[in-house]
Amino acid sequence: MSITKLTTNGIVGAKYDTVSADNYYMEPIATTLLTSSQTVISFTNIPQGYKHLQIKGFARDTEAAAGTDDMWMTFNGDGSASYSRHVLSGDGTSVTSGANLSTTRIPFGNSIPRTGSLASVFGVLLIDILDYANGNKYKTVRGLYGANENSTNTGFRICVNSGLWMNTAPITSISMQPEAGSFATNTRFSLYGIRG
Amino acid sequence: MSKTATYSLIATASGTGSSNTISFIDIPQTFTDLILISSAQSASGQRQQYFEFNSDTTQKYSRTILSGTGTSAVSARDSNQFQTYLDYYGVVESTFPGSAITHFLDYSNTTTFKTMLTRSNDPSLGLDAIVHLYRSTFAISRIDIKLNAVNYSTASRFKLYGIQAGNA
Repeated sequence: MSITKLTTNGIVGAKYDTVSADNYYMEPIATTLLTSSQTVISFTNIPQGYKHLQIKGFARDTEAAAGTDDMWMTFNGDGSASYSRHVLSGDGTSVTSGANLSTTRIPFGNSIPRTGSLASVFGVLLIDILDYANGNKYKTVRGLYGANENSTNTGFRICVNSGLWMNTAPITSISMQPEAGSFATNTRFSLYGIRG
Repeated sequence: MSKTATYSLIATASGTGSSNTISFIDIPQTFTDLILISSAQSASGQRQQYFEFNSDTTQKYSRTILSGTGTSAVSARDSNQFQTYLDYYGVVESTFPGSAITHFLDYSNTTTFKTMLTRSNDPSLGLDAIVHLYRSTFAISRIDIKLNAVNYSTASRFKLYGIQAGNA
């Protein structure tokens, strides 16, 4: 039998809202699909009525060399050293782990194939931003992302990361850009709101 | 604020006990992305699952893997394969269900190769994060999931969802 309803009846200590399963759903907020290269993709005036956000990205950049670039994410136009992240990645041969503390953005390392890599290959990013509208918490981000070009180039990886924005302000805008060059044509980022 | 469902259930499938293949055919091309959720058990033993797209069994598949076994973390890579496996350590067991979730972004795009992300889990062996590449610009209209060497048990369940992005 599937779970369709939760109530507080008979529960001591914990407090839950009475909800129905069909109140929970994911809504598309906005999509940017590039028909020409563009340096920064931003979602602005983000509605504050959701519980969490999710970004799905399909990206490539215009850098001529082979390999991949990082994608950088910032919130509310904040370019101060208010971010940190940890990453676990596999390059097809080795597993590496890294951390960046007090940085000016959240990097999604090795996520974006460059124009000089195998043609028609795009990196894929799934990014969750939890409690984005809460005015009492720092903001937590998690990502699953990667790219493959059917080669032994260790710049092409599968990665999981977590990020932090040390600011309690609700997130009203999100900006993304490659660490070098611009996002290439056919790059797409979609923003979804998750109700809760 | 208007309420627009994002996840649409396209199709479900169950193991029959007499086949190692689950097929989703004539996939609508009206969504932006797909998500395939697998809760699978084998008829016997630990087995790997793999994808074939559009009935294509040429060497157009490759993947990069990140896995944890409980005692070590490993990474591996397959190139020029005839299919792409959903798992490395997060395989399918016969006595309990294993889970695998695969995200297909821009599956209907006819100008780009297809990149997919999978998370797969076997509580007894390990877990995987995998990025796949299918080097074809054809839209994905058919997905076959196959179990290596044995049939899916009748306890196996598969669901394919379409994800509709907002207007560009």
